[in-house]
Amino acid sequence: MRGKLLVAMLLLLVLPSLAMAGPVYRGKVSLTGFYYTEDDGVDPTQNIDKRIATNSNLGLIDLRATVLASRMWKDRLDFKLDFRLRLTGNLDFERKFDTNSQLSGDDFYKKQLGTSARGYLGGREYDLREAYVTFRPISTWHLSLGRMYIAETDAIKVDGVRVAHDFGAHWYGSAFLGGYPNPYSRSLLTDYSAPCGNGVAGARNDAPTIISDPFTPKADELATQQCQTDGGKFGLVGGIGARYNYGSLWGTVGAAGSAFLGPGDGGAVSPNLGASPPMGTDPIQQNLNQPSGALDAPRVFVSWFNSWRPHERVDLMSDLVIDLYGSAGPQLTRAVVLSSIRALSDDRLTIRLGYSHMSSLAINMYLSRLIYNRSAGTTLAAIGASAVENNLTVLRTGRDEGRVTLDSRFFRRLGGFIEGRVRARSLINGESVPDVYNTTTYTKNTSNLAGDFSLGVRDTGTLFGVRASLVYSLIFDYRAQNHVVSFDIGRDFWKDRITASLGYTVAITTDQFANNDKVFCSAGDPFSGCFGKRSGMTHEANAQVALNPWRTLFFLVDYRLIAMTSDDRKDLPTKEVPTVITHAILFRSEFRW
Amino acid sequence: MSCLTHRLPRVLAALALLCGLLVSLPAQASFFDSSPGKLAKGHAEIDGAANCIKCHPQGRREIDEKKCLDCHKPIAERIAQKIGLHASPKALGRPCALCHKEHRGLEADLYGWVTMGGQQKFNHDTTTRFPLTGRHSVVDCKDCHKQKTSTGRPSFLLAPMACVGCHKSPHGELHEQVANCERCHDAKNWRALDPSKFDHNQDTRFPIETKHAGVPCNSCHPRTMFRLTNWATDCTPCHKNVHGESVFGQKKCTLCHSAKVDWKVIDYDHNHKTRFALEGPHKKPCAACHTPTATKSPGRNCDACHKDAHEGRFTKTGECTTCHLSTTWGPELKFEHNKTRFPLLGRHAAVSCRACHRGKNPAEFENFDSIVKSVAVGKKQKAATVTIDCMGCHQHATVHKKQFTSDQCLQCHQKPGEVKQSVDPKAINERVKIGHGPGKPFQLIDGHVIDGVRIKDCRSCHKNDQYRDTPSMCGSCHEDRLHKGSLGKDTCNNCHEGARWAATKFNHDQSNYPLLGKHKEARCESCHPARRYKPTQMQCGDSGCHLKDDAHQRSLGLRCESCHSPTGQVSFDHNDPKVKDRWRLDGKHMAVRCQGCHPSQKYKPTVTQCQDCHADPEAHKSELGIRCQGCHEPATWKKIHTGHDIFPTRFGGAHDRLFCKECHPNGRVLQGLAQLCIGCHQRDDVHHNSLGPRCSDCHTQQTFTGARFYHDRVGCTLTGVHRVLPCSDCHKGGNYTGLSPACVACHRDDAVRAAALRISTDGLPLGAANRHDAQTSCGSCHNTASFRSSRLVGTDSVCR
Repeated sequence: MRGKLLVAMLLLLVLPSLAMAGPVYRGKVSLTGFYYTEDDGVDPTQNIDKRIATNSNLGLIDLRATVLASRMWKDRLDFKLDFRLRLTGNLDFERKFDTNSQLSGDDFYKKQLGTSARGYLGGREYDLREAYVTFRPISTWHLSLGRMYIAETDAIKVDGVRVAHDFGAHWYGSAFLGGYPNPYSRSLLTDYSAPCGNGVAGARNDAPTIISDPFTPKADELATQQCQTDGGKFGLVGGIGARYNYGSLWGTVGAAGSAFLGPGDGGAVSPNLGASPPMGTDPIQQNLNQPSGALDAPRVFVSWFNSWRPHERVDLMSDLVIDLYGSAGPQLTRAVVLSSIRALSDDRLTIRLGYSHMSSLAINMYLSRLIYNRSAGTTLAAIGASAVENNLTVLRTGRDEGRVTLDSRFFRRLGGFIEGRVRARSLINGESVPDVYNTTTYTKNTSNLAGDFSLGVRDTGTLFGVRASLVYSLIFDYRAQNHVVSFDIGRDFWKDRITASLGYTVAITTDQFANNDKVFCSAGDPFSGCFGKRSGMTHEANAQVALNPWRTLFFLVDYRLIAMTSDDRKDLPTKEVPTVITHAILFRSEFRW
Repeated sequence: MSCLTHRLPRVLAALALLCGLLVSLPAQASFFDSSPGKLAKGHAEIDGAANCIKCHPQGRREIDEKKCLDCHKPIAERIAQKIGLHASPKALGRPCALCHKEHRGLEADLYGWVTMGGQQKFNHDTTTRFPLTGRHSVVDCKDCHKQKTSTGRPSFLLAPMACVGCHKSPHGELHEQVANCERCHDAKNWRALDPSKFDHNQDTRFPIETKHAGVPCNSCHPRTMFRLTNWATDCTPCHKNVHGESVFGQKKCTLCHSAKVDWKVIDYDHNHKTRFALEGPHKKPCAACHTPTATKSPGRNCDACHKDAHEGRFTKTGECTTCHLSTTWGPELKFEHNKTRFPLLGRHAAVSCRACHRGKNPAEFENFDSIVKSVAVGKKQKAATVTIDCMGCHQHATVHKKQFTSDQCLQCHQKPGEVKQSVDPKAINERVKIGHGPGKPFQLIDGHVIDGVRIKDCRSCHKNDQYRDTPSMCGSCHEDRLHKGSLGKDTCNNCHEGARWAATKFNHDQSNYPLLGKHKEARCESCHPARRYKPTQMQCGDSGCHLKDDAHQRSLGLRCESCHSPTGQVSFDHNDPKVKDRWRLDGKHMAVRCQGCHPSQKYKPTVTQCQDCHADPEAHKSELGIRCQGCHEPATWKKIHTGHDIFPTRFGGAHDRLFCKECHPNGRVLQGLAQLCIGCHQRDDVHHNSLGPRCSDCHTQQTFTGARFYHDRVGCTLTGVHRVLPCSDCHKGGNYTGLSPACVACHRDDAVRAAALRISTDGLPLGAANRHDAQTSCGSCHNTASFRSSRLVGTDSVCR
């Protein structure tokens, strides 16, 4: 018995060494910088109310490094590291509560708030995207440890272990288990803690507190400090997945379940029919049931990504994610279906049709602070519907989009396209409690239908290698209408090592309530009059130079000058609206090997 | 009173002086009316009232320095050149009259020596270019400054600088390059300085050579007369001519002698300087040929010195040197026999003179005029031909058995002294006429005539010099080594015509195997190895033909004509639609040789996969699979058609720098999905579905960072600090749509916190009415640029 075991172990070590391929080492280090500043010429010490431009700047430096070492140790070991470091500043919002500063006169206006980044979370980021090793004791079994994306299961990020098996030429399956970092996080500091947004107060992000007397809350029941995280909130995820490949048919299929060991979002928003006294039908605190303090419900979902080429001129792609169980109940989280039909050969005519349905993946664990707001004594208390964010977030926003594209190549590299898109947004599951949501507060003056239409011609180098495109787009957004014309021209030089491009874009924007003097903003009715009333133009000129002297080196500089002009506003005391001039420069250097 | 009396004369004198001054006042108006005194001799010519203005300008007392220099131009020039006393710091810029005081009488010292303290005080060393050193320091000024000015006064400017200006040379006339006294003398004394300063080799035409070194100067230059007037570049001024009137005495000594060596050593190159080179035994002392008293050189003819040992036998032949060498008189002769009527050719050239010209002593030398005769042709002797009676010397009875006469020798033999037969066409024709001429039984025609010349060597057919009864059948001369009798005996004429080797009588095309293409160019033995014509092989792949050429090693059978044509071309059409399972060739494949894809000439089994020929290039590191045609085109390998240049804009940017595998793992085709970024960037979607599947609405392909989202195009132009806030500060949890723009929607907690900090809305003590958390209209007091109270009317929305 021992002899057989010894032979088996030797085979485990010897078999991989039979492979002939050598180690492959690849990597990339990139440095990206961005700086943005704007001014409207308004003296903040004199006309602060007229000012549109900000007193702060945007600036960041991103350092990203990716290292991939594969086929090491005689094809048994792979390693990947992918991290990103963002250096930037944080705005000092505590000034809001600095009464001394408030009383120091004009000096407060003159001070720059500082420099920060308008990233998803803002501030510094220490983003560890991937860091794992894969060990292959034999060629058909893979064991991965570390932080990784599970491609087979909706590309979720896991800190744990993954075991995969190669079933042959067509199937490859895996199972995984581990920690589930915050999907919205882009920093190690917030991967396992509830993030606090900067700029708004709120000392609490823990379980909702029932305030005994909403009108005279106790000190410990109120947000008296800057928002701070209160420790880790560990999430756990596990699942299985597989990918298949049949030549013209390939894709992934997976199933996963996640649970967060923290308080939930308080359950579904439901009306308190016995509220006394009832205050209309708006979803204010008095009309809602108290939230639940139970732990967050686990989420279970399945995913299926499929690509199929039934004919050499037809491609079909579908991407489905279905939540089977969770706080918001079963739902279609994502559905994307796209088709590409090459009606005529040589790209003479290509037709693309697509439909997508997407809903926000609200991870309940991190909504605890919002649930707190839903409690008595906080936002919803006596204020009305100011906390619409809570409802939308908890219930998830969804968007459905359909698109048609006709793409054609006329002559050599000269072509054109026509594209139309229509999209609608909705409140997912809102219909389950129509008494709460289907009120005029949410539906009045609210457009849930948008779309755009684009028409353009482009040439990718027919004449002296010059690339140029001219595109017109008509965009019907939910609350604005835009006419956008953009023109780009560029060319590659020195055997494509240098790329220079120039572009100009003009957008004519008309907000939904532009020039409507009868509309006023009221906190109790935010969707009727609190959106923009601007009409005007935006001019943007940009120049971009990219240098790629060798395959391993890349440099990019992109500069943009943006001028946003606005028509006079009759509803404002100072009718003349200043023009905002913006300078934005982006540079990037990259080294690959 | 007495005091007054005592002072009276002084008072009167003072009064008189005062009166005098008063009287003279009118005179001051005319300065030149009186002179203070006579001018010195040098200026005597300009003395007088009429000439005052020549020195005094505009009636003033002062002297105009320019006027001085206008006359004393040598002084002006020296000042300009910055030389001399007047350009020295002591004098430059100072008034002339400071030293040269005038109106002091004719004999006054106009030179200013008095001012200077006398002539002896003049510093000649620092103010002139001629420092007074050595004996010059004690010489009186006038001994050197003997020149006079135009007025006859001593001039101190014109003294000569060179020695000869004052000193007379005792050396007589010298060459220019040695006439400079300073080379040998200085001012201390007249003795010569270091003699080594004088380089006789460089400075004269008479270099001091070895034997002259150390000879005192006065041995050659008596009385310091350095220029020898009677010297004619020869030695005789110093040395005596010992050769008298002889031929040596008539020449320059240096022709033979040299001061570099001893006087007795003669250095005369007789070989180059005369037309009589001294070689061999002629290398003797001069006196052996030149007697001491001879006034002429002996002649160059040998008989001038030597006696004729041949006693006139070769008088007609010419000088002794016609035969004899000056280096070796004896056995080695240089007589050019070839210039006689009988050139020594062949074996004749190797025999000694005495082998033919018999005799006992130099006077006896056999004459062959009777054997070698010139026969006149026409009137001119130059056109004469020479007849040689070979048998006058040679007896050939043992060779040709007296078949031929003496006059026939040279009809066959190339030349006298040569056994080989002549290859001269004329000689051959003459020779052939003897046995093969017209009417003879075996005429040498056709193949026996090579390049227009008949067979050159008779002995190739006539063995053992037998020229009679020679057999005439082909086989008697030509051995059938090729056919080895396979085609029969004496059948040569069936194929070969006229004794030619080319088988011109045989027409392959009339056989059962006509020759086509390359076969027409093939040599017979290529198909008929060893010249074996029977039995004949007919199949291409027969062992005698192309079997060895079958690179396919019989894998394709013996029917070579299926793919190959006799013209050498490959007739196989890869693109022939009739060919089953054809593999169409296009692009670069059209130019590839067959072996490029079919190594080792193996055509079966057929290769159809790219990797069968193109080993996975190192660039891909075996990561992209074998479907090369998925990206590459046969037309050019470097052109990759990825299908990325599609709507809406060029698929490029960072994607251009990616390895294919990063988007196409396992060779997956993604065509038709390129504009759907989410297909690859699922993991990068930090918005988690909330913003749709097409990332390019905001992000660019160059870099994901720096997304461009125009908030002003969605119905909400942000203002103030909100324009640069992180998106998630407002859009929490991925909620990007339907968000309330009211300030209080986000800042409600700020109001609560302000209340907790007991900050009232109006600065008054906190009460129920001025609590922050009781307000919803933030814009009434605050603005979006800062949180400070608004001066005017704010807005309750973050949108403008």
